[in-house]
Amino acid sequence: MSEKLTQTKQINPGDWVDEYGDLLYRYALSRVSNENIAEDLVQDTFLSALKAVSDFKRDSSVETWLMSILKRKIIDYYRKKSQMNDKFTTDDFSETADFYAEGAMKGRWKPDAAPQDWRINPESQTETESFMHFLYKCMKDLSEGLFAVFTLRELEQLDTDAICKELGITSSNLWVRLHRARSQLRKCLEHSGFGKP
Amino acid sequence: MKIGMKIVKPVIDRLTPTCEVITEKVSKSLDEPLSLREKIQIRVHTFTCILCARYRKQLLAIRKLIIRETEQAEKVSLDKDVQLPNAARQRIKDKLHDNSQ
Repeated sequence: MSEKLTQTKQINPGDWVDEYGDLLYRYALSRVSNENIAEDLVQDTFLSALKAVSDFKRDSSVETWLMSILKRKIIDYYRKKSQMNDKFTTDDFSETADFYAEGAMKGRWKPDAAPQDWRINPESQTETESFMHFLYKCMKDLSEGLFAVFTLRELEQLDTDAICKELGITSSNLWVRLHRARSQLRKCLEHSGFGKP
Repeated sequence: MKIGMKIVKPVIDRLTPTCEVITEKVSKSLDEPLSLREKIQIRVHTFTCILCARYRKQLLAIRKLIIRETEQAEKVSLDKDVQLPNAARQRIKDKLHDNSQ
């Protein structure tokens, strides 16, 4: 017991802020795309860590531990938002006009929406970096609801059941959102020049 | 388009779902296992519809590129120069200090 207390005394949370603050902030910002919210999440993470420091077993690194707390906070944030915010759950997607709505060509690609030929090499390191740069830019154009599902599914790599549970949406609702998010991002990436030789 | 394709394509267009529906199913395939029927529909449709074939390739590429990035670094970052603003840093330290008293 006294050994644990000594360990607690030796840990200075202020040092944690200096050492891990930037990292946590960058990560949070990439997931919520709003500076104030990212700051709040980082603050909450450190506060939680402070409370739980006696539980920290040191079998993982401090960085991993803090990150896991932050990730949990990010998911909680999305869950609270989806419960509170109408905009999150109602149809927040404007009609695509990517496909003909009627006539003989109904359901077929419209010429200006038709996917172009991308020349990409997923093995290339520089291409990966420029891709993420464009992707983040394009993600900022997504509505909150679409941003959340895409982030949780593709960046956090949660499975669909977990996302449905966290956000309180049905799986068919989730599929529709992911489809819209992916379509919008694909189009945005194409327009931003990614994939052009 | 090759002569063979010119004959086959309209038939396939009639028998398989529209591009709009196919893109929905392609997206869904990234999250759920599709039925055999759906898998065949996608295969057949993308055989003659190059646009949907591209769509599918591009969605898979987006996913693959993200996975590569997240595998390389836990620290997926917008911009590696981004830092926690000093004001926020100080505020957080102060709050931690208050809370540890």
